Amino acid sequence: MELDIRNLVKTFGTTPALHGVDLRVESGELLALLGPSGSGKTTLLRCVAGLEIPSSGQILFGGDDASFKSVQERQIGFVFQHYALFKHLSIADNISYGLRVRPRRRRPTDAAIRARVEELLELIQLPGYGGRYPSQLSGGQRQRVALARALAVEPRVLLLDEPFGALDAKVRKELRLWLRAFHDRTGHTTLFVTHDQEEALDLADRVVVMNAGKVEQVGSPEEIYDRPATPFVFDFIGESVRLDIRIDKGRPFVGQQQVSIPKLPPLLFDGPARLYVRPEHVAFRRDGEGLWATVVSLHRSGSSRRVGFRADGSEALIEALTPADREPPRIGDRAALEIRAAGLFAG
Amino acid sequence: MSDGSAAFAVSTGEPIAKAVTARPPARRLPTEEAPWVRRLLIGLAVGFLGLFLLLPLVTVFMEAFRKGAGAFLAAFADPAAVDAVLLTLLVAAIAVPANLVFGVAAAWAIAKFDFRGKAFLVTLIDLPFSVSPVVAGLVYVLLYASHGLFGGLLQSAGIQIIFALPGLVMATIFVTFPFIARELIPLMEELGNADEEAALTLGASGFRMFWTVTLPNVKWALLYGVLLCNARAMGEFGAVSVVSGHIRGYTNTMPLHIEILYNEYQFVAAFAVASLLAALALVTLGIKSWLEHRYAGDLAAGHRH
Repeated sequence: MELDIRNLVKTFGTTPALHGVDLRVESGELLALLGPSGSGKTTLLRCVAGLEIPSSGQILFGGDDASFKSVQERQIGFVFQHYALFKHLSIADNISYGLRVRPRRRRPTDAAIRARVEELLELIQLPGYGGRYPSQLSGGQRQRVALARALAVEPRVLLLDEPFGALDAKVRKELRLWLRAFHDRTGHTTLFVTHDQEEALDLADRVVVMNAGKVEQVGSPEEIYDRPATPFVFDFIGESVRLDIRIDKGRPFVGQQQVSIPKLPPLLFDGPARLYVRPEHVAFRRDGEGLWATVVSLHRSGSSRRVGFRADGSEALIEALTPADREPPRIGDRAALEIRAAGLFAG
Repeated sequence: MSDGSAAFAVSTGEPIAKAVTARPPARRLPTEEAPWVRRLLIGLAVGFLGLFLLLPLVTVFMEAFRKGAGAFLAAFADPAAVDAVLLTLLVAAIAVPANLVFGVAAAWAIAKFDFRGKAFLVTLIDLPFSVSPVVAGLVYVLLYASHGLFGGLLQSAGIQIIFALPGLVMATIFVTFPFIARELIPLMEELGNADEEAALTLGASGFRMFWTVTLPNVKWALLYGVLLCNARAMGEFGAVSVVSGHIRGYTNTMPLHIEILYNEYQFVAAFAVASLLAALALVTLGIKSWLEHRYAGDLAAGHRH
C-alpha cells in the first residue's frame, strides 16, 4: 500500500518538530528516514502510526485519508527500539496478541491463530520458540519476535523505530542483512527510522534525509551519497571537508588560486561560496597543474593512508586517500591537488 | 526503616570479618572501617533495634499470655472485642479497594501524562504522610459533623458521617492514600509507554490494553502497595479516634478498643487484642519480604523512593 504525507506539521507546545513534510512512499518500498537526533524523523513515524497527532497536514494510506483515524483503525505494524515485548506473555502469545484482541466476529479461530503463529515463527527463523518468554531470548531474537508480532495482524504499512538501535554492532549488521532479505520476500511497504547512515544506505530502496523538522533530500542511496542536494546532506552523509571559496566572473577561487572542478554547472553568480569535497575525490601530484597545497598530516587508517593538506590561502584541512603500500609524502612536502568532484553552494 | 538497618548490620558483618582475618589490620581497604569502629556500629544498630523494636514486640505477646491461654482467649469472648475486630476488617475491606482504584488512577495520570499542576498533585498525594492523622480527623469533624460545614445538609438528608462507619472509612482512606500510589508511580514512570503503545498499534482498546499489558506489568508492586495500605488501615489510630466517638460495638475499631481496655486497667485483654494486631503486622512483613525476595526485579523501581 502506498503512503502519502502532505504538508505535515507538528509542534509540541511551542517547539516545532515538523515543518511541512511532504513525502510519498511507494507500495512495497523499503524507505529509511535518516537524520541526527532532533531532526523529526521519529515524530514523523509516530504521526504515521497515529501515536502522535499532527498539528496540521494529511496522511493518506493508499488514497484513503487516515489523518483522523485512531491508532487501532490504521492497521499499521510498529516495531519499537527496545522491542516492547510483553514480558509476562510467551513468545507465541506475544505474536498472537493482535489477533486475540480482535472483536469476536473478526477474530480467527484458535486453530487458525496457532497456525499463523507457527508460520511466523518459521518466517523469523525461530521455530519451536513459541513456549519461551522474552527474557530467555537474545536482543536480536527479541527484535525478530517484535517484527513477527507486528506482521501477525497483516498491517498495511510496517513502521520500524530505530529497530537495531539497542543491539551490538555485529548483531546489528546481521539483522540488517536479514531484514533486507525478509523484506524482499514479504514485500511490505516499510518505513524505518535510523540515525546510522551506513544502515540507511545499506538497507533502503530510498533514503529520506531529515534535518530540523524538514526533508533535506529524498533519493536512492547512490543519489544521496554521490549527489548530495544540500550542504547539510554533504556534511551529514559520508566524509567531506568544507572550503570557503569565492566566485569571480563565474570561476571558483581558493585564496588567489583558481580551482578547476569537472562536471560543475555554469556558475551564474559572483561572491562567497562553499565547496564540499570528499577525500576519495582528491588526487595529488608533486608537479603540474592544480591547487597547490602543503602536506600537514599523515594517518594510517586500515588499508589506506590519509594525507592531510592545507591549500595556499585556505585554513581547511583537505584530506586525500592513498594506498598504504605506496610511499607516502612527507610532512611539509608541496603538492598539486586535483579535485575530481565536489558540491558547490552559494553563500 | 527497621529492616533497612537490620540488613546493614548483617551484610557488613560477615564479608568484612573474613577480609580482615585474611590480611593484617594495617592493610585495610580504604572503604573498610577499623575493627573497633565496626563492632561499635554493629553493636549500636543491634542494641537500638533490640531495645526499641524487638523488646516491645516480645512484651506484647508476653503480656497477652501472662495469665495463660484461658485469659488470652477470654479477651476475645467479649462481644465488644469481636465487634471491634469485625469493624476493623470492614473498614479495611472498604478503604483498601477504594485506595486501590484511586491509587492506580493517580499513578496512571502522573506516570503516563504531562499536565499542568502535576507536581502539585504529587505533593498532594504525599500530604497524608506529613499531616498528623489527628489533624486529618479533626478536619473531617469540622466538615461533616452535625455542627460542621456540610453537617446541616447531611443531617437533613439523614446521612451520618462522623461517629459512624462512613467517617471511619473516610479517615482511613485519607491516612492510607499514599501507599499504593507511591508504590506504583516510580515503577510506571520507569516502564514508560512503549508496551502500551505496542498494544494499541496491535489493535487493542484502551481497556483491553490496561488489563492485558499495564496491570500485569505492575501487579507485584500493586500487591506490595495493597499490603502496606492494609496494614496501616487496620492499625490506624489517630484519625479514626477523632471521628469515631468510641461507641462500643458500633464505632470501636481494634486500636481504639485496645486503648479503652488499657485505660480500664484490663491489661491482659488489651495486650491480647494488641497481639492480634501485632501478629497481623508480622504476617504482612513476612509476605512483604517474600515478595521482595521473589520479585526483586519487578519491584526494584518502586524501592528507590
